[in-house]
Amino acid sequence: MILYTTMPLELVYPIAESEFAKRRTVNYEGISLIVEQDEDHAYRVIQVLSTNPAHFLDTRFQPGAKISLS
Amino acid sequence: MDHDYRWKNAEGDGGQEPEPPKEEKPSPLMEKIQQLGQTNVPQLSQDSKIHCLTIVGQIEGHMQLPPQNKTTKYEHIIPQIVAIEQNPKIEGLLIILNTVGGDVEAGLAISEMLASLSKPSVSLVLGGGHSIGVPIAVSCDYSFIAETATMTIHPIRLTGLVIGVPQTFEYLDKMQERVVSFVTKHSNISEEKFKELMFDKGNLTRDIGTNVIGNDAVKYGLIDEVGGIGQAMKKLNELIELNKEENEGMVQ
Repeated sequence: MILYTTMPLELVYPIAESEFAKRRTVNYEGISLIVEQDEDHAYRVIQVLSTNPAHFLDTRFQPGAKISLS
Repeated sequence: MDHDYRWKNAEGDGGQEPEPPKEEKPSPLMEKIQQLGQTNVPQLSQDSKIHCLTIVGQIEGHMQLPPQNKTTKYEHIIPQIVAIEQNPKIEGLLIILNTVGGDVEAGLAISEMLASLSKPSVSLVLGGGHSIGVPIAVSCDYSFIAETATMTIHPIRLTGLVIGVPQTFEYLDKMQERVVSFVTKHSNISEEKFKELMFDKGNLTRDIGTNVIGNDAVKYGLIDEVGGIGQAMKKLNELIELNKEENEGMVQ
């Protein structure tokens, strides 16, 4: 099926709310991170939202690293 | 490059040795301790005098895109720019662009924030700085483009509800005028040339516009120079020095 439309895909096929719920933006030790919740309540780092290049060298917040939030 | 970075960092915090790398996997006990708020404070004092803002993927507007999309959200970027403007330790800002474009108003908001920043800023287009990425790239004090990077210049489009054809057309035209005036004000390209590229035919498949590659972007006056991270950092350090001298002059 080909849809000839100028409408964006997400307007044609709305995304389930649960998809958005998985990801959160958190402030962890003063650094904003986008995290995704794993099955075992731990959070996995997706992206570091910082402008300080030093934060990107910190192995604790490397994308894929697991962090626990209280 | 790692070495080069450390040197800059060491200069920022008074020649201190960088922290030894952390353990690969903190023990569960360590995690528990962190949960209790026992954080390693000296780690946070590692400040760099140059901060780097990356603008990647789509520039997200009022609608949140699904999580699999790589996006740059203005609600993340704008507070960061405010923090950079306020923090006296930060002396310069490097903008790295690899974006397909996105929301016009969000893109213009970021561009205006960068253009009004009092600290020196240098932008570097890597890969692509398309569509609304163009005003962001030119908003900085000096702009670089990688030789292989491209920028697509095309007319503004609107997706969504069309209420009345003449009104919609006029609205689009006004929106486009905002982008054109911003770009011509902040770069060396003339309005005629920019519009010529914008409405050119036969360059893009099934669309009007032009895909401008590295050297051409410089030739048209859109971007200041072809270069990479080395040149961009060098230029930023030069601008920082210049800025310092000017400020000292004002004090005297």
